[in-house]
Amino acid sequence: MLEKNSWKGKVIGALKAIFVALVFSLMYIPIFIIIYQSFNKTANSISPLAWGGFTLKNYVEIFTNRQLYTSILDSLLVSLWTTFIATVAGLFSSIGINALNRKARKAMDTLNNIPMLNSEIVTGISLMIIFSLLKPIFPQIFGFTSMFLAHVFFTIPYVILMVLPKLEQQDESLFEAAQDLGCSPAKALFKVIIPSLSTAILMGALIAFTLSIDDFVISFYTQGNGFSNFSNYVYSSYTKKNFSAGSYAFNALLTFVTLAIVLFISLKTSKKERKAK
Amino acid sequence: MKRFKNLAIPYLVWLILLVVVPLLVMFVLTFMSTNGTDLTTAIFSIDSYKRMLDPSIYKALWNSLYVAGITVIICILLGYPVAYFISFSHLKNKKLFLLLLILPMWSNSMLRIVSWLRLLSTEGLAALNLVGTDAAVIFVTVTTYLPFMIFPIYTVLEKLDRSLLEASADLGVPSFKTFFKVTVPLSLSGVSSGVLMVFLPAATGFAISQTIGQGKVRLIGNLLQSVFEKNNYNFGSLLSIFVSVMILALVAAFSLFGKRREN
Repeated sequence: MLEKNSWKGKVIGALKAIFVALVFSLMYIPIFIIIYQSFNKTANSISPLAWGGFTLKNYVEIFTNRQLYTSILDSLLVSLWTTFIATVAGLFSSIGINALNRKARKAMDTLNNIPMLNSEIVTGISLMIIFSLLKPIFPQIFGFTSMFLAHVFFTIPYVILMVLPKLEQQDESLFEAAQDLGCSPAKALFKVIIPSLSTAILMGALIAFTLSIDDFVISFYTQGNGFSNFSNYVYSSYTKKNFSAGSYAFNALLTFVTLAIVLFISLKTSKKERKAK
Repeated sequence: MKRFKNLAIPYLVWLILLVVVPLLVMFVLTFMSTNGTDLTTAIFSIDSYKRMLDPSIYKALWNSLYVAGITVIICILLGYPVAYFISFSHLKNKKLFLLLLILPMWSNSMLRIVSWLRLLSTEGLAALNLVGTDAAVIFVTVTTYLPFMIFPIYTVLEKLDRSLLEASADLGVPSFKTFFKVTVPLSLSGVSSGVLMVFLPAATGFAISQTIGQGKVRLIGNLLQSVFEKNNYNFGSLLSIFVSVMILALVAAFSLFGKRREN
């Protein structure tokens, strides 16, 4: 082992830090470009990244460019409903799967893995085929309904992935004790089992929301009738060259808000820790 | 809790409707010539199977495997050391690093790709003519999926029992040898889940190759997309099934390999 304070150790430590910083910068360059462009006067053009002067006009555009704000609202609508429904459905399905015997369980696990393993493009295409077969019966299916169903479809497996392992670790005797004390099985489920899973459920919901709000490929195949999401707005407006720099502004705004929340939480917890000491 | 078995039934029906039924429909479509999904005017045809002889399909497939393969290798080379340095550092605030890793993913991925494209076509960099090359596509794919490689490796390294490394050091094994004989083998499970999480989306995506590749880099995803854009649901279905089978075979081979190694 190298001595921590020897010059050799220090050099190696510095090299490590530089390497980590370089790799992280690869992931952060696009974020910086987005923020830079959000204040850039010439961000709208197809021209290179040249600085055209400072402006807040791009931020105003979030509220004035109809195509842009509709896509943002559509994204939020789909993702919030998806998070809610996929979390609830994933939770109850996990409880059901957990109760199955080993053989049925294995079959169910395999089926549940398919949406996660299969490529997004094939998932998107196969859902599009099903929805277009249903179109004669439900003429309005493409739009919110199709995108929402598709998002629920690809996020439930992740909720199950989070919840099921925790459910397996669950002590059966707690559930029995609740019943011995006079709870009905359903009440024992809601009062004992589900509250003890709250962290896993929250994690599942968070993953579902993150995947849903960022999805491009599956939404690409299930959008329609003027209903799209933010990723697809960026893609199609960029290809059609009527891209709004408000997209940068919206994304930068989100980054600022999440950063503020993260800072606020970490400050609060460090204060608590100091008090505890 | 065995009485809640029935709660699995709605989900089973849902999965059958949205996984099994589409697969069957696609399978039927491959033997037909239809206008979209309109089955009323369908006629029997094996044109789709004839088209599978087209060499451009295998070129796209090879391109996909090549781009995804190089991406995975670069992600391991960059991601493993980062996960290792952070996990083995004496920093108090390791959680902050995890947060820094998640933060870029909260920006829209499509917009991040567009930003790279703007940067790569800026003067100076534009002179390198990177836009439209395999290299640029691979580079942007790496930056997009790198966190998916770092995460699982980091998680496994954090769980690794440090006393094993101390034991190895106590026995006089040099530290680089300990790294290759103890640390690496024990963290392979993290590497392999990282490989799957990077390889699959990299091989089948079409957004990066379309925007950064400017249509010059054709992967299997671009091929699929253009076939469906031309409303050819029959050949498209066959190609989709082909891609799915390839993926499932790959995943099966991978997990088999993993099991054999464990034994």
